[in-house]
Amino acid sequence: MKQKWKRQWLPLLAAVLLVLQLGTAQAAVPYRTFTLGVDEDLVQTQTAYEPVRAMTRFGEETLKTPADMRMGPDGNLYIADTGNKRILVVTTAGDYVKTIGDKKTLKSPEGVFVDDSLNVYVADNNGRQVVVFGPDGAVIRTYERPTHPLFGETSPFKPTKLVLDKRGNLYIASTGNTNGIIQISPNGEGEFLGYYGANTSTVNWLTAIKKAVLSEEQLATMADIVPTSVKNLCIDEKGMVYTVSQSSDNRSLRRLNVAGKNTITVDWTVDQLTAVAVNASGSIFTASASGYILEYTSEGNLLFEFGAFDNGDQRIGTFKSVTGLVVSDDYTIYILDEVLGSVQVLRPTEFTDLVHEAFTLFQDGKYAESKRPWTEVLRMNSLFTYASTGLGEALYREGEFGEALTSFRNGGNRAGYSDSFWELRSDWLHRNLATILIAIVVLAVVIGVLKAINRRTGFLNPAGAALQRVGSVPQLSHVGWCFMMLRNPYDACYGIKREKRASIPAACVVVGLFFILYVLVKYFSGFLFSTVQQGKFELLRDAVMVFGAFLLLVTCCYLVCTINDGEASYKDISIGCAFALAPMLILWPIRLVLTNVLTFNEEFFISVLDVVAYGWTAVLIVLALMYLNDYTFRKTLWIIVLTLFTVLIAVALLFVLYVLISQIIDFVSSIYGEVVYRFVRQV
Amino acid sequence: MSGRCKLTALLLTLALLLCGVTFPAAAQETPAIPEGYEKMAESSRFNLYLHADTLAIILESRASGKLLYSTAQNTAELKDNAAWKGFYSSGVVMEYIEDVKSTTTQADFLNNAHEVEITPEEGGFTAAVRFPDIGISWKLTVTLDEWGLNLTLPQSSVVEENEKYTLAGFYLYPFLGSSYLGQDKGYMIIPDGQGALVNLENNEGRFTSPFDRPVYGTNIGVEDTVNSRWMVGTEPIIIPVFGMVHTEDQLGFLGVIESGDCAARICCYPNGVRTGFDWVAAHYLYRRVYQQPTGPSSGTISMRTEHARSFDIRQHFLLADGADATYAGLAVAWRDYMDRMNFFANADSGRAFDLELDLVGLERENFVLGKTDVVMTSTRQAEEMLDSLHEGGLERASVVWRGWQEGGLTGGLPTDGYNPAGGIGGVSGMDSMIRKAGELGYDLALEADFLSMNPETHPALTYSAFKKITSETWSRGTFGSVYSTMQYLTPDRSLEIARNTLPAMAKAGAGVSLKGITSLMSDYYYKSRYQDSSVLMGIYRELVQTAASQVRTTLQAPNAYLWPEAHAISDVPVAGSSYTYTDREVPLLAIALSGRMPAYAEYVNFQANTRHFFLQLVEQGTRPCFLLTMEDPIKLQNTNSSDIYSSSFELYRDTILTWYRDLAEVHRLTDGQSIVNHQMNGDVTKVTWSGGTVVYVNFGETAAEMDGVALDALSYKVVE
Repeated sequence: MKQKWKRQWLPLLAAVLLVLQLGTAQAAVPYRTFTLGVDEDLVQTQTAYEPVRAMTRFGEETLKTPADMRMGPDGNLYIADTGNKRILVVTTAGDYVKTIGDKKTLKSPEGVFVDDSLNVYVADNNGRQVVVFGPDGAVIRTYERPTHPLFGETSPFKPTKLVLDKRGNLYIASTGNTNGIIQISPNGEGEFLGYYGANTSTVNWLTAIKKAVLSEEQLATMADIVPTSVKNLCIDEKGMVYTVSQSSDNRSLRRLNVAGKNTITVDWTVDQLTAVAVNASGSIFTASASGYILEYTSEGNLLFEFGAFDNGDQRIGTFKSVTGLVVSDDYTIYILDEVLGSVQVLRPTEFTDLVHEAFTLFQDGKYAESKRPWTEVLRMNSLFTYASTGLGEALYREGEFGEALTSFRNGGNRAGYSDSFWELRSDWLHRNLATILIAIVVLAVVIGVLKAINRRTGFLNPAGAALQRVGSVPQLSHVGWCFMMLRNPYDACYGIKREKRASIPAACVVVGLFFILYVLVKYFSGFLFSTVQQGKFELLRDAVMVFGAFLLLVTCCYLVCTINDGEASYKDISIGCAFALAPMLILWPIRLVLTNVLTFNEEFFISVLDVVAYGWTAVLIVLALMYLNDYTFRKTLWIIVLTLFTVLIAVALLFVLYVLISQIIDFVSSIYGEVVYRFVRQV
Repeated sequence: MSGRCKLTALLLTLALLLCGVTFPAAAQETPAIPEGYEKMAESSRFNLYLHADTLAIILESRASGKLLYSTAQNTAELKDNAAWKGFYSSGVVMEYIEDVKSTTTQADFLNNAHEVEITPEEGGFTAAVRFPDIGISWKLTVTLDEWGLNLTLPQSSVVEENEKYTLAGFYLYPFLGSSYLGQDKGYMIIPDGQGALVNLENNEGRFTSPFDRPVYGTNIGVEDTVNSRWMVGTEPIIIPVFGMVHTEDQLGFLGVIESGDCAARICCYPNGVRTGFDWVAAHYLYRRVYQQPTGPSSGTISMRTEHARSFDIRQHFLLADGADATYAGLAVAWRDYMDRMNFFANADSGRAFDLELDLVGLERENFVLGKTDVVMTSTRQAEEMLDSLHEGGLERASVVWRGWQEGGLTGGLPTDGYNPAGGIGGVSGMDSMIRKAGELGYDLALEADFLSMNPETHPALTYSAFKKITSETWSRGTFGSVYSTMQYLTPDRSLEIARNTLPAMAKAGAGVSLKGITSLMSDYYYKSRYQDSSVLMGIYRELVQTAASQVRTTLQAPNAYLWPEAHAISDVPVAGSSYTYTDREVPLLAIALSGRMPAYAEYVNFQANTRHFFLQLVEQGTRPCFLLTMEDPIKLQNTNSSDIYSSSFELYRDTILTWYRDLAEVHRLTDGQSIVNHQMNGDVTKVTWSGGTVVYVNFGETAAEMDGVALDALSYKVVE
C-alpha cells in the first residue's frame, strides 16, 4: 500500500517540487564564464548558461555510474545507466518514462543512440556487442565482433560509444582499439566497412628519434607514441561525425567527413574531454570529465567556456565526472555525471540568446540585421571580441570605415582592420595627394634655392663647419664608423683592427641603439604586424635577451677563436659584432614606420625588409669574423658552428649553477625557519 | 444518533471543510509532555519544560498544544553510533581538546559522567554543569519571554580544572525542532545569500555533506581559502541566523546569535548526511587545532590555539506559531528583534528611493618602463555624467567614487590618506565634483578600502601585513597582469590609517563607502602572539564607528554586527550559492531590512538575465547599483580590473533612467512601509507591505495569475 502510494504520488510531488524550483529566485552561478579575448587569451564574460536544476531521481529510479546520454526524436533523454545494466528513458523534466534492457540482455551498457524510428542502439562494453532494441524494448538484433580480416586479429571489440548515420551505418568507438572508429554496415550480419577517422599520435622531434631508435615492443609501451582512442562521438544532420579524445591539443575535438578526414581545428580546448554534442544550429559543445563545458561556433571558434569541479560543496552547476552531454535546439544543456548520478540542466541566459541571435544573422550574411544584437551584446560586454568583429563587418559594409576600424581593433580582427585601414588610407590619400605633391615640390624648390644662395653667399658654411666639428669628436666618429660596415666591411674591419677607428664605448652605444630599436619594433609596431600581447611589457627580459645574448655570443666566439689561431682580440670581436648590427639601425626605423602605415596587402614590403635586415646583418657578422681573424670563409663558418655549440654548453652550465644556488638558498631558509619555529616560538 | 442526524452531521462537516474552516487546535490530538520534564517557565504563547539530567527542553505552544523538542525522540532503534546518539539526546553538547590531538572530542549527557545543578530563575533556569572526568564546568541560563527563548553562556562561568583538557566549543540545543526522514513537514532556514530553505523530506541519501559554514565568511587566519579563477566562491554568511519551521504544526523558530558570532559556524544537516535527522544549529568554537608548519616547504605539527577566544554566548530562539510560523513571519520577528536591539540606530531609514552609481576613476597598466595610469572617468567627465542623468530625470542618487586615489583601483590600495589622483583632476577636481553632486542633490562617497594592500606599490606597509595564526603572511593571487598578489593589513594598522584618512574626507565634504573590513572575520597573528577574532571584531567595530561619527557611511557587503553603525549598506547579495540541498531561496534579508536600512544590490552590469534581476529588485525592495566609466571599459583589458567588461556610461545612461523611473514608482507606493509577508506560488511571488500595498512578481516565462491579478510573463504589478 505504501509502495503504491509512493508510486502514485512521488512523480506528482516531484513535478510540484520541480515547478517550485523553477519558480524560485535566481541563484548565484558557481562558475565564471570565459570567452576568447583579443590575444587568444580567455577573458571573463557574462554568465552564458545558468544551472536550473539537478535531477537525481526519476520517479523512483536513480542512476548508478551512468556513462552516456542521448536525446531521442521523441524529445526524451536516453541514459546508459551502466551500473544498473539498463537504458533509462526519462523526460527532460525528469519524469520516468520507461526502462529498456536488463541484466539478462546487457552487461555494461556504456553507449546509447536512438534512431528516427526510436530503435535504441546500445554499446555493451563487457558484453562485447552492440544490442539493438525496438521501440517496444524488445531486442531486434545484435552486432558482434567483425570477422573480416581487415578488422585485425588482435583488435578488441569492446564498444563504448556509438552513433548511426542516415544510411544505417554504425560508427563504434571501442576500448583499446586505436585503429579508429569501427564502421559497420547494417547489411547482412553487420558488414565491417573499415576503420574510420583514426587519431594520429603527435609527431615531434623526440617521438621521431624514439621511433628511429626503439623496438616495436618498446614503442608499444609508450603513451605518446600510441594514438589516443576516441572517448565519445556524436553525429549531426549532415552526417558529419564529431569525436573527442583525451589529448590536450587542438585535435581533441574533430569533425570527420564521409572520408574520415578532419574538417575542423579549434582555437581552444581543455584536457580530458569526455563528451561532445552538436545541435541543429551547428553549435558544437564539448565537456571535460572535470566539468568544463565549451561551446564552439560551427567553425570551431570558442564562444564560451564555463563549469567547475564539485569540490564537495554540492552546488548545482558543478560536476564530479561528466560522461554525457545533450544540447537541445533551444540550447538547453543536459549534463550527465557518473559520480553524482545526476542529470543537470543548464539554460542559456538573455546574454547568450542575444549572442546566438547575432551569430545566426551574421553567419547567414545578414550583417546589417546583426548590428542591433551585436550592439546590445557589446553594451553588456565591451570585451566580447565576436561582437566587435561582427559589428565591424556590419559597419564596414555600410562604409563606416572609421568605426569599423575601431570595432575590428577591439575584436582583435586583423584582416578586418587591414581592410578598413586600407579604405581609410586610400580615402586620405585621395583627399591629400595633391597637397602632399605640392608640399614636396615646394620643399625641393626651397632646398634648391637655399643651395644656390649658399653657393653664392656661403651663409650656411658656419653651420656646416659646426657639423663637421661635431662629427670629428672621436667618440661620435667611432660610433659613425659602424656605417662603414655597410659601405665596405673590409675597410671597416681594417679600421677597427689596425687604425683604432672604433672603441668599446662606441660598440656599447651601437648595441644600446639596437636595443632601443628592438624595443620600439617589438612594442610599437602597428597593430597589423605586432606580435606581442597588448599591455605586456617585458623590458628586463628583453634587456637580458639582447645584452646577455650579445655578451655570451661574443665571449664564446672569442674563446673559440683563441684556440683556432684567430688574430682578433676580445675588443675587436665585440666591436665587429656590434657594428655588424648597422643594417638594423638603418632598416628597423623604416620597418617601424611601415608597420604603422601598410596593410596586409603590402605585407610583402615588410617581409622583404626583414629578409634584407637579417640577411645583411648575418653576412656582416661572417665577414667581420673572417676579416678580423684573418680566416678563410670555410673556417669562419666552422668557427660560427663551434661558437653556437659553446653557447649551448654555457647555457646548460648556467642553468645547473642556477639550480644549485636555488637549492642552497632553500636549504638555508629552511634551517632559518626551523630555528624560528622551534626556538623563537618555542614549539 | 439517528441516520438522519448522522447524515446532517456528515454534510455539515463536509461543508465546513469545503469552506476552509478548521477545527480548533485544541480539538486535535496533542502529544503529551514526556516523563522527566518539568515546567520551568511560561509566556503568553509558550510553555518551557526542562529535563534536568540532559538539559533537554520542550517548548509547548499554548494555543495549539504542539511541541517543539530539543532532542531526538524514540531513538532506541536507531543504529547511529554512540557519539551521534549522545549528540541528539543532549540539550547541550560540549567539545574539548585533549592535549594537542588533531581532533576535538565530544562531551554529552549520554556518554559522559556529568553533574547538573538547576537553579530556577525568573522566566527560566540556570544550569550549572560539570563533567568531572574532563574537569570542565560552565553555566547556562535559559529564559523564556514574549519573543522567544534566550540562552546565555558567559565565558566567565567556564572553569577548566585540568590543563590536559581544554574547552573547544558548544552546540546549544542543536536538535531543537529536528525531524526524522521527513516525518514532519516544513523546512530549515539557512543564511545563504538572502536566505534559503531546505525542505524537511526524505532525501533517500541524496546528499553527502552538510551546510557547515563559518559566520561572516572563511576564517583566513586559520583556514585555506579557495582562490580559483574559474569558480565563484560560495556566498559568505553575513547574517548570523538559522531556523526551522514545522508547517503542519505551525511552529517555528529563528535562531539569532547575539554574541559569539565572531567564532560561530552555522550547520544544517539534511537527513542522510551522517544521520537520518534534519537539524540546524549554531556551533561555537572557543579553541581549535591547527597545523603549524615547521619549515617553509614541508613539515607540520598539530597545535591548539594559545588561548580561548574571548566571547560570551548569547543566542535567541525567536519563536513563532500559528500563521506567523513561516520564513516571512520569522524574518519580521527578526526585524522586530533588531529594532529592540537598536540595530538601525544610525540607518538612514527615511531615505527616499535612489540608486547607487559607482564611478571608476583610474586604474594602472604596464608600460615600457613601469606602469601608467588608465583614466576611466575624470572628475570633469563625472560632472558631465551627473548633469546628464539629472537632466534625464534622476532626482536622487548615491554616487560612490572607486579608484579615485593615486594608484587607482588596485595600485592605490590601501586607501591611505585623502589624495585624489592628479589623473582624474586632483584635489581641485574632486572638490568641484563634490560641490556639483551637492548641487544636484546627490550624495557623494569615496570608496575606502583600509584592508587590502598592494605590496608592490606599498612595500613599506608589508611590515604591517596580516598574518595567519601560523605567522605566515596571508596573500592571494589576483590573476591580473599588472599586480600579481594582494595582501591584507593588520586590523590595528587599518584602524590607524582610517583615523588619519577619514577627517580629511569629512573636511572635503564626502561620505565614505567602506569595503574590505566590512566582510572579514578572522583570527590572526600580531605582536608575536595569537589574536582571536573577537579582537578583530572589536577593532573593526571601532573603525566603522570612527567613520560613522564623521561622515555618512555606507558599508559594502557588511557582516551584520556592523549594521548598527551604518547609514546604508551596499553590495547586498541577491541570490545564494545554489547548493543542491536548498529547495528555494527566500528574501529573508530583504524582509528584515525593509523599511529600516537602505540597501543597494550588487551591480546590474554583470547580470546575464537583466529582466530577472530587475524583478528580484522589485520583489525585495532593494535598490539597484550601476558601475560606470566614461571611457570604454575595453581600456581596462590589460589591467587588474579586466573583469570590468561592461560599464560605459554612454551605453548605460538610458537603462539607468528607465530603471530609476520604474523602481521609483514601486518604492513610491511602498514608501515608509516594511514587508510583512512573502508568499510564493509557482513562478509568482506575492509581497505584502505593512501599509497594505501588495507587489506581485511573475518570474515565469508564461503569463500567470494570483489572487485574481493577471501577470504577463516576467512582469510585476503593484496593488494598493
